[in-house]
Amino acid sequence: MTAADIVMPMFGQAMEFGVLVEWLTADGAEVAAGQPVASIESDKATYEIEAPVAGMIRHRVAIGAEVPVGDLLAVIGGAQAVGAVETPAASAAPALAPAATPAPARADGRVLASPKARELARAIGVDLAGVTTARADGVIVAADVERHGAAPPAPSADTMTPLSPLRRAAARRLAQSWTQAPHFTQMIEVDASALVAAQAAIRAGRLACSLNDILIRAAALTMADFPDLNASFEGDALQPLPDIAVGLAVATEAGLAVPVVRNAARRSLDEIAAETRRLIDLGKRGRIGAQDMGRASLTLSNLGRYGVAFGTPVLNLGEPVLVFIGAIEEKAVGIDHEIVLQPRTMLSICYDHRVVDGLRAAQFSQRLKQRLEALEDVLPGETEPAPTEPGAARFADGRVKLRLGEADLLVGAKDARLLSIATALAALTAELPKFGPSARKLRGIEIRLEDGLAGTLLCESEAQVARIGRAIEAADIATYSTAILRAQLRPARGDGDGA
Amino acid sequence: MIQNDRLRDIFAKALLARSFEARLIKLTAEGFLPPLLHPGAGQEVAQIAALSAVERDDPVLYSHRGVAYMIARGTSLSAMIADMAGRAGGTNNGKGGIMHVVDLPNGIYGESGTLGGGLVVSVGMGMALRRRSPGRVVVHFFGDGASNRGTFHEALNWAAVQKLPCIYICENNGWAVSVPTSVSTAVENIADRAAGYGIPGVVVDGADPDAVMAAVANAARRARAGEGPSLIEIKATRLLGHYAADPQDYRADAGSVAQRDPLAALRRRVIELGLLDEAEIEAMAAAHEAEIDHAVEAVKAAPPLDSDQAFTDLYA
Amino acid sequence: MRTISYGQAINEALAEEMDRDGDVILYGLDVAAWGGIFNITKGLLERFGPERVFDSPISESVMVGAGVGAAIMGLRPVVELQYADFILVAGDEIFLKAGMWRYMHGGAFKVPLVVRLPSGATGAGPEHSTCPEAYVMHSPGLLCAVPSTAADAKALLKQAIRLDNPVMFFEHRRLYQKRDEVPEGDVTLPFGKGVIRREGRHVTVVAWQYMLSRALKAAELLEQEGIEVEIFDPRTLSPFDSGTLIESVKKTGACLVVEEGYRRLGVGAEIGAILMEQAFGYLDRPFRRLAIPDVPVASVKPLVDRVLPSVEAICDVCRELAA
Repeated sequence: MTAADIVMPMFGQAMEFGVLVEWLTADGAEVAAGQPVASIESDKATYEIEAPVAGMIRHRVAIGAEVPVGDLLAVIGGAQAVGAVETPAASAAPALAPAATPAPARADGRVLASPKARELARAIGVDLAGVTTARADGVIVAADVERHGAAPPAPSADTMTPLSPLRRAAARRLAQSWTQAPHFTQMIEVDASALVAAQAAIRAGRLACSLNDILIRAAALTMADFPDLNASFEGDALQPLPDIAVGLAVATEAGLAVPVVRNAARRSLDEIAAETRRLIDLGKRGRIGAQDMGRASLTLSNLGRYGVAFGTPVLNLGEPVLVFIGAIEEKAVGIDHEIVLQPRTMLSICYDHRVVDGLRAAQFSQRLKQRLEALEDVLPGETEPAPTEPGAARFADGRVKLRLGEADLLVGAKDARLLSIATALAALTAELPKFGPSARKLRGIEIRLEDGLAGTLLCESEAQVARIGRAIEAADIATYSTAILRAQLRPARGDGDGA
Repeated sequence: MIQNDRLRDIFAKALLARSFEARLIKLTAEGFLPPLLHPGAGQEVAQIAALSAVERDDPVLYSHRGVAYMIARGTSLSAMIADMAGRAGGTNNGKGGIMHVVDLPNGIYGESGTLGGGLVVSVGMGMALRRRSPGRVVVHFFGDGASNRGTFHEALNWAAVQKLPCIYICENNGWAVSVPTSVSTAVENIADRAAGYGIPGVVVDGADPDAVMAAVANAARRARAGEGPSLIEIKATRLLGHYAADPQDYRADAGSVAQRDPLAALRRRVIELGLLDEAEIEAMAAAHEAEIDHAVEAVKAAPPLDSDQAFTDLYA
Repeated sequence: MRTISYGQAINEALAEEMDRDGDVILYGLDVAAWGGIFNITKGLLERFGPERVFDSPISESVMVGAGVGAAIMGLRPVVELQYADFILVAGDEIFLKAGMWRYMHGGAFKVPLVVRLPSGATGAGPEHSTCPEAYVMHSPGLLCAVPSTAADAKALLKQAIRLDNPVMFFEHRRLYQKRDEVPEGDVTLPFGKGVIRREGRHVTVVAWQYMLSRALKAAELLEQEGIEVEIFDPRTLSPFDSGTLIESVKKTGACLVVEEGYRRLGVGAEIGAILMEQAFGYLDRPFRRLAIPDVPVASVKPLVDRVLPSVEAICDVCRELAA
């Protein structure tokens, strides 16, 4: 067996130290090459370290230790390696089970402990997070707390909250970035119709990706159009970045993590989707590896679901661009002297002024906007995401008029899913007889979905209603991602509802 | 023949029962009472006549068909209203409503909520009476529907074997809620089942108070002498629905049944016999109304039951 | 102290109470002339006469219903149902009439009724093998006794007859022959007070009647492994002595209920809930229960043995809890 040292690796170029959060194997256990042995927290995320060789591992630092990059964490093999030792020296009563790996529950930050153990820990001031148990179910019991011993003195009663190592390091890096890089942010509003249509297509199952994946690809392609922006300011010079990597801010239990999709401009939408799924899954389990971290060319932050419209981001240290995407909201805009409702979103694009000037940045901003409005080279060609034609007129209550042959169909739907269903229905009834636009009384078909969502398919005539009604009955409901619970004919809503 | 005093008394009580129930129905329509009454209109004369043939200290288990049983024994009107209305001053502390009115000094011993459930209980009451108070009898009223329960068989069989002092009075009004006896019951006369237990079974017309009294008096004599139980079937007339607001869509004679009202017939008879004239009857009715008014006022003035009562009276 | 069997102890209790109070009567199937198919009521007809000790027809509804009727009129009837399973045959009479007659009528009556119920899996088939105390523990208005020893059977039955509330008195048939020391004299036990049969530091086991004997055996075996099992016998399930149980769990932090009833919504389920509600901070191990795994108890021995909690199973769970 060869001996090997395991040292604190450098995850990310600015990392100075890491914290040993968890030993994934017991001290003295036999490990295989490539087996994860420790969990490390850096300023960006939690990583796993693998054993470089097989052998018996001996721990050299304690849990919670801040270890500078390059310093020793553990050794494998060497003079002490003898045979396999599955159990450490047993200390407790014979009824105890042999020692096992510490509770898997700890990986997601939760501590399982019996009520008695909790009471005891509280009473003697022990932090349960530091207690281990040999129990197979991972539940800390009172004996484990007792064995752990008395706690260090309780924290002082003043109001300061100590930060975890990850948050301390993050604070340091954010301050560095903020003070070193001159930030400027350009806000540019985008017609989000194509994005909304893409969301509809995603929900309808016609696109197998998330909205974030679309944004990543759009951002990557735009960065590819502006290779001069893909650089970092180091020392006194611009260092080109090795590839176009797009970082995606992801929330995990331990806080925000930013995994990076490398070579994003050269990956298809499907490939990006697979990659982000993989990274998010790892992030949730605190298992993002070193190869998935590092500096990005551009980081995306999509916190629009919280309703924030625009903001002034702080660049990740060493990155030239950060794009904050705000909430998508329906707004009234003037188009061709008409007030029209349109989904809009604001991009807040933050640039490092050392890397790019305002004019060039504006060109980038504009290009990104155009790309998000059209999505023509972002989405796979064969997918038709938009059920509405560009420039389709919208009405105050969210209805859309569809032109189908020479017949007008008014589709009322507050939800993109209904819209897509309505479109499909309209397609089913493509061979509609001609009706002139003079019909004013509108008839409606109510569509209800399983989850209570409802909308009205407004038709211009009884015959249209009948036609579509028959089509609904004949339709293969299974082709829709949500089932139509009931479609019923409803009398006219009255005049004045028309176009 | 019933003596005139007795007849007049039966009529007066039946009149009061009819008026009292009508008031309960009215109070229900007004929302003061919950809709829980099963009106006994049409059956009062028979019920009161039956109880006229036994003593006040002969315990009674009654059926849900109206309140004439309690009127016969003199239970407080306001207490019964309070039981229904959930006010203080009732007989069962809000626990049982009108279905479980209890008045031990007047021999009203309650009711089983499950139809036919009391048949077996009355057997035990008869066993106790025989041991501790020989000479007293248990009177148990039940309907045609309940006579089809297994408890009927078990109770009559064992009461007969032990020769218990029980009088089983089946008020057969032809309906178990909406189900006519022709659909539910294998025999025309429920009294015929008595033969299966070796005990006497008689059929009497519920509009004929003399016949009812005579049959019950016979049964009581037999029971007090230790000869055992009897089954009396009263052919009764249910004027209203199963419950007060029952529209009785299932009933063909709903409109015409009033013509066969035993109380109306008794009214005609007491007038014919010269026991009472119209004016006296009107005055009696008015007095009843005043009595009922008084009872209603008392209940309306009474405080609502404390909900803590939900937790009392469970264990002795 | 003399040693008599559980069955003899019950016979003594009946005789003593019938002697003491002329209102106590006893009836059931085969209890008079035969003296009971399990011989429990032997000699009572001769001693107290046919007006107080008599046989009934096979009519569980009127047997119990008449018990209620007699009780509300001032007698103190003791009704024997031949098998505990028959509480379901007389369901209305037990759960609705006996349990609720007093309540429904606003407390105007008392129901001093005792229903004796021979229970337990003895290979008599699915409808003659259950220990259905959970139904009784679940239902308001009823008391429930589950004596495990001859002394307890006698003392609790005497108490039951004297109480003014309806008591479902479960007698386990496998214990009828079991002999224990039983004190002489007028000894009663209160309802709602259990007893610690064996002390220990590691696990509290709750068990009664036949399962108690298995728990005791398991405790002896485990003692040799250094595991100390504390055994709590509740004596009555309604009222249930949660106080003593909680004191025990405060000490051990671990609780196992071993019952001969069905698992789902059994007595164990209620005890687990009680511990969660009233002893949460003291629990140091997951609550466990051993019970019949929600199948009827079959007729043949291998199947019966398979579903009843075994000594081995009790040991296994206690070892897990003590670890």
